[in-house]
Amino acid sequence: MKKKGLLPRLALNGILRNSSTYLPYIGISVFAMFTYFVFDIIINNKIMTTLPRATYAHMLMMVGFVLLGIIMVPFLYYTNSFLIKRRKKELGLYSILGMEKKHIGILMLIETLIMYAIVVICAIVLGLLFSRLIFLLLLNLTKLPVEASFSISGKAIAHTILFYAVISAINLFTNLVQVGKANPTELMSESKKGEKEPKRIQQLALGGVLLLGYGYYIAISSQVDASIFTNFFLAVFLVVMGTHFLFTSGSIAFLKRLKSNKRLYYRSGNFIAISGMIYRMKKNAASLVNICIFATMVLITMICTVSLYLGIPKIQNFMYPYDIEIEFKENVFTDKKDWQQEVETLAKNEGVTIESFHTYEYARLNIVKKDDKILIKDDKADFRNMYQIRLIPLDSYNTLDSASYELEQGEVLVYSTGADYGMNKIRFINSAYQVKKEIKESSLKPKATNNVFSGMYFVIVPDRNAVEQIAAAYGVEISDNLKHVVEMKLQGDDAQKKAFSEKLNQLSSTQTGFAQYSDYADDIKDTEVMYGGLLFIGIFFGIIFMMCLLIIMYYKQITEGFDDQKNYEIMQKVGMSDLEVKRTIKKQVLQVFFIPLAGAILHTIVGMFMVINLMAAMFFFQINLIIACTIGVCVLFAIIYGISYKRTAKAYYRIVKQWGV
Amino acid sequence: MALLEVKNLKKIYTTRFGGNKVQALTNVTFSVEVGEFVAIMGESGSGKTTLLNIMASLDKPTGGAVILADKNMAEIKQKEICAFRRDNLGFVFQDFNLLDTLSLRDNIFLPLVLAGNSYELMNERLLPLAKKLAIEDILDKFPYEVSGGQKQRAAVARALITKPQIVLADEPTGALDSKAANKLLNIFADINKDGQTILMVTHSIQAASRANRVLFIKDGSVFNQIFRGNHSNDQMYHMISDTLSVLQTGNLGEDASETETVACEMTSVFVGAEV
Repeated sequence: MKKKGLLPRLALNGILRNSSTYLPYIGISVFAMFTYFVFDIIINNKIMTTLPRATYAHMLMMVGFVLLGIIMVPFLYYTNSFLIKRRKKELGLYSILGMEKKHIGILMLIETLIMYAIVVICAIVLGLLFSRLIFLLLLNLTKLPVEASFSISGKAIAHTILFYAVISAINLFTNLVQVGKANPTELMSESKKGEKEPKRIQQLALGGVLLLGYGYYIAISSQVDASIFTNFFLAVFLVVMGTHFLFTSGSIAFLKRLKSNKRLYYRSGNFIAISGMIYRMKKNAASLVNICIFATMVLITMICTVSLYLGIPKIQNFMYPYDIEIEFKENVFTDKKDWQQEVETLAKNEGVTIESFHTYEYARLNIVKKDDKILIKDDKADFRNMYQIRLIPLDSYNTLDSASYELEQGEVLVYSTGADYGMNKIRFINSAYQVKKEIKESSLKPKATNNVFSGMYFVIVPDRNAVEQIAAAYGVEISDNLKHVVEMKLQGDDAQKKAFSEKLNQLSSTQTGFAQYSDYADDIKDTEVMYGGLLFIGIFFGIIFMMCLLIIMYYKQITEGFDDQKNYEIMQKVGMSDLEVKRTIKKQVLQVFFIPLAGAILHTIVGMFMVINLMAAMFFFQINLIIACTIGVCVLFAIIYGISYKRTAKAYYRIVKQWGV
Repeated sequence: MALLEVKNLKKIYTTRFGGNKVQALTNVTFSVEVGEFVAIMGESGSGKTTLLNIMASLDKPTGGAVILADKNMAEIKQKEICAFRRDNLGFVFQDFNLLDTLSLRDNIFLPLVLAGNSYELMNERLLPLAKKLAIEDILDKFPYEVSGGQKQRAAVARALITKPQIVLADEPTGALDSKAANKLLNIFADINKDGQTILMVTHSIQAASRANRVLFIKDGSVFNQIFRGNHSNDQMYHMISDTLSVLQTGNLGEDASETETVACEMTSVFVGAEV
C-alpha cells in the first residue's frame, strides 16, 4: 500500500536534492514563460488591433513573440541536457535496486509534471501581477495613449500552458530515450577517458583565422545597399564558425604550450587548472564558443537598444525637421506678406507658437550623378547614385541662412544632406560650374555624412536665370516648377497643433499658386511607435539573452564542479590546502570567463561597423552616440560578468568541497 | 624512539540530529618505531578506517593524541595541516585515487608540485623510484590506459616521492588480483628493507603476513598484536589466521553491550602487557 506513494515521493526528493541544478532551470523557465505570457497578453489586447497607430507596435510584438518561441525551445532543451546528465547516476542506482524502466519512466514523468506545474503557475501568476505594468511601459515607450484599457485574455493563458507542455514533452521524451537506451552500469559510470586532441590543429587554426578574418572584413567593409542583410547573416555565420575553429584550436594549442613549459606547468596553481582543461579540451572550447557568441548577442542587443533610446529625438529631427511644409508656385504666389501675417494671427488665436519659419525658392531635378557629371535619371542606375538636386537662387538662400555670399557667373555653392560633394566642379548637361564653396551646415535640412538613402544636393546658383537655364536642360519648365516653400516647426499641445494645421491648410489652399500642403504630425507619431516598439523588444531580448548567458555559464561550471569533486578530494588527501584549492578554482574559472568576454568585445567592436550601417538605414546617424554606448555597455557588461564570475567560482568551490558531508 | 605514537585515541561520532552516539574508537594505544612495517587488521566496522583517517589528519579525535616525530598533530594549525601531511605522510589507497586528468608522471609529481619543488628535483627523484617500481615505461600514460597493479604502483611512487616519515596504506591490495597484489607486497617489503616505515590497514591475511608486526582491532580498541620475530611469511600467515579465528569465535553468542566491555578488558590485558 505504501508503494503507491513511493514514486511521487522519490520524484519530489529528486528535485529537492538536486536543487542546485533544478532551481536555476525552474527559474529560467519561469522567466521565459512569464515573458512569453506577457507578450501574448499584450498582443491579444484589443487596443493593439483597434488603435490605428498601434499597428507597428503590434507587428513588432508579433515578431518578438515568434522569435522568443523559436529561441526558447532549443535553449530549454540545451539546459535540460545538463539536468539529465546529473540525474543519470541516481537513475542507474534505482535501476540496479530493481526499479524497472517503466517505473523510472513514471518517476521522470512525475518529476516533469511537478516542474511543469511550478513553472506554469509561477509564470501565470507573475504574468497576471506584472503584465499591466509592462503594458504601460510599452505604451509609454511608443507614446501611445496610456488610458487605453487593458484586459487579460484567456487565450494567452491557454497558449502558455500549451507551449510549455510542448517544451516539457520534448525534454521528457529525450530524457526517456537516453535513459531507456542505456543499461544501469552505463548510467552509473561516467567515462574516465580524457578527450583526444583533434587532428590538424594548425589547419584548424588557420581555417578559423581565415573565416573570422573574412567575416570581419565583410563587417568592416560593408556598405549600405540591397545586400546588407545577406552580408550581415553571412558575416554572422563566418564569425560563429571562425570563433568555433579558432577557440578550439587556439585554446588547445595554447594549453599545450603551457604544458610544455615545465617551469610554468609544474607550479601548484597552474598544474591542476591546465591539466583539467586539457582533459576536457573540446567540451571546454565548445562552451567558450557558446558563451562568447551569447555575450556578443547580449552586447549588440544592448548597444542598439541604448543607442536607439538615446537617439530617437535626433532621428525624428532628421527625418522630420519641421511639422508642416507648404509649397506654392513662386511665379503665381504674390500675396506672400499678407498670407504670412494671417498665419501669425492664426497661430496666436489657436495658442500655438511657431518655433521656426523657413522659406526659400527652388527648382527640383531628379538626377543620376557620375563623378561630377549630372545626368538625367534613368531606372537602371544604382540607387546610391540617385539624388535630388534643388537649385536655389543666391538671394533666396542668403535670406534663409542670413548669409552674405557672393557668386560670379559660373560659380555655385553646394550643400549636401549626405556625404560631402567634395569636388570643385559640377557639370550639368549644358553647362559646367565652379564650386566656390561647399556649405557644411544649413537650416535647409539637417546633414549626416553617412546618410546614403535620401541624399540631396542643394546647389545655390547666382540668380534665377541660372536656375532656369540649368533646369531647362533636364526638361523642367521654370514657370511652373519654381517652388516657394514654407517650412514650420510648431510648439503647443497635440490638439492645438492639429486645429491650427487644419485651419492653416484651408487658409493656404485658397491662395493663388497653392501647390501642396503636408502635415508630418502623424508620420512623427508613427516613428515614435516604431522606435518605441523596437526599444521595448530590445530591452526584453537583452534581458533574455543575458539570462541565457548566465545560465549557460552557471551550468558549465556546476557540471565541471561535479566532475572535479573526486579530483579535489584526492588532492586534499595528498596535501593540497583549502587555500590552494580556492586559488586553482579561481584560475580555472577565470580563463573560462574572460577569454569569451575578450572575444565577445572584439566581435562587438567589429560588428559595430555593420550596426552603424544598419542603423543608418533607419535614419540613425549618430556615430558618436553609438561609440559612447558601445563603451558604456561593454564596461557595464564586464562588471556584471565579473560579479557572476565571483558567484560562479563560489558555487563551484561549494560543490567540490561537498565530499566530506 | 617511536616515530608514531597513538595514545588513548577516542572517536565518537554523533548522528546529525544529535540523537545517537556511535563510538568508533574506544581507546587505542600503540606506537610505531622507525623502519617498522606494521599491519592493522580488523573486521569491517572495527574502526580501522577511522583510525587511519585520524592518523592522516583527515579527521579529528574526540580524545587522546597522535604524535608523529615528536609533534602532536592536534596542535598543528589548520592552515599548516595540509603542508604537514604533504611533507610527512605518504598515502596509498584501495582505489588508487589517481587523477584521471593527469598522466602517471604528473600524478606522481602532484605532491611535490603542491609543495612548490622545482621540476629538476622532481625528475631527479622520479627516475630511481620509477625503476624500482617498474613503471618507467608507462609514465606518460593516463590512469585509464594502465592496469590496476600499474596504477597502484604509480600511487606508491606518489606516496614515496616526498620521502615521507611514514607511508599510510589503506587496503592497498583491495582492488588488485592476487598476482598484482603479490607484486605490490614485494615492493612494500623492498622499500621497508630500505628503511621506509609503513603502516598498512588491511583485511587480507596475505597482505598482513608480510608485515613485521600485526595489530588487531576489534570494536574500537587494539585487541592483540603479533610480532614476526624470525617467522617466515607462511608461519606468519597461520599465526594471523589463528588469531583472527579467536577474534571472531571468542565472542560468539554474546550480545553487543557485553562485547564492548569484554573488548576493553582484553585490550588492557594485551596492550598493557606488551607495549
